[in-house]
Amino acid sequence: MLENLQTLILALADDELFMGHRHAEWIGLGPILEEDIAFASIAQDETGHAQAYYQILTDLGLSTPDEWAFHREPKDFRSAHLVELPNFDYDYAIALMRHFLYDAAEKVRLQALTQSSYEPLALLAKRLQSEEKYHWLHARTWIERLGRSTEEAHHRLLAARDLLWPYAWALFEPLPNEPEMVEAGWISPSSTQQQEWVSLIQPILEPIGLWKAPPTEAELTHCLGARHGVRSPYFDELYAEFTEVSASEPNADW
Amino acid sequence: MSAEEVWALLREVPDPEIPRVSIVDMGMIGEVQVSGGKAQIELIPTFAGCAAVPLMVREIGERLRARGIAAEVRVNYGAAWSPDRIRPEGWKALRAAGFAVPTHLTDDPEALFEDVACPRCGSTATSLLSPFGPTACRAIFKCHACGEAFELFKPPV
Repeated sequence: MLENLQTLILALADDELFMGHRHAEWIGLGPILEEDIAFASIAQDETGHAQAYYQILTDLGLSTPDEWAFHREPKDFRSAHLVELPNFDYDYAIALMRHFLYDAAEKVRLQALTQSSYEPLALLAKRLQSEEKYHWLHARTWIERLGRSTEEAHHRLLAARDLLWPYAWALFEPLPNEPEMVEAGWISPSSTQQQEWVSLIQPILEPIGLWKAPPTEAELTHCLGARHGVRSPYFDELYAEFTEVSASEPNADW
Repeated sequence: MSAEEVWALLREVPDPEIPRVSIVDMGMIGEVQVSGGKAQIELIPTFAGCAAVPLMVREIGERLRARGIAAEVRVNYGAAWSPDRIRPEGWKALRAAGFAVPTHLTDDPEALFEDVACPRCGSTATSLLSPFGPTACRAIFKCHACGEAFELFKPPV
């Protein structure tokens, strides 16, 4: 049971950890000041959410949040490849589209977790939901605004969507032993979450010409395996940067 | 030392991000248990990712230690903080610090951002510039009447 719980919580936490890190890379580089602040703020929230998820494991006597974040072998991470992808050339359309696709999935996931039979997760999900509403409002507003603006904006969003599309669908790759987790009432099946995600984003993307059919199996293959420990080609560089301070000063306190 | 005395000490600890408001008046203190020379204190952050949490934990420990009490602070992320935890003194201090405050409690962020009154001139001819501000619990607004920018204290919804 403990092993399954750890698998589930690490998948949730690691997604938040690296999404937070990637969003934080926009600090000082946002296209306008308000967006700089927005991405910094969202990054801070996501990182805090990762910490709160790790804390559930810590409360069970399993390591500490800092240990989980900074002192783990790459193969022991469970983050989806979507959140590991870099901010390619700092293209804001990619950042916004990733933010939108990811936060839609998170919205669905948290809703499912509020019903979890595992009480610490249900309680935490309820709290995080009340913070994530602002992220979703931000993501949806910008996608709709830019999706209806200039031809260039639309063109950039289309390119971003094409790049991110299979990675976003791969967010719903089933966890190892998922049937046992569903049976225990911890979480809804990933296939159900995926359907809910589609119902959430399709009505937003379709009217602005940004919807697209699901990726084919061939398109999806290279994005899979994340929940089993397969890291994306971008992970090593990401993790080296992420752990730069903790590696040089393992006992640093801040 | 009694629990009341510990509460009184905690009330002297400022919210690091809005120092005019105490952490007690902000509703961030949950249960307090005192026995012998030890106090167990539950801290409920407004936002889970609040960067000021370690600072508050340290500050609580130091204030109590100065009075001979060992503090054990447990940060409870599972407990939801909500604005109805703010005491009347807390709302008063937020206004005095220059923040606009929500006029009604809601679970809809868009409703929260409607009809926000400018803390300087009182006009509700205001618009949201960004739902995010210098800290997780603030949003940035502009007043069309007096032309000033201001911040709304933004609770989790």
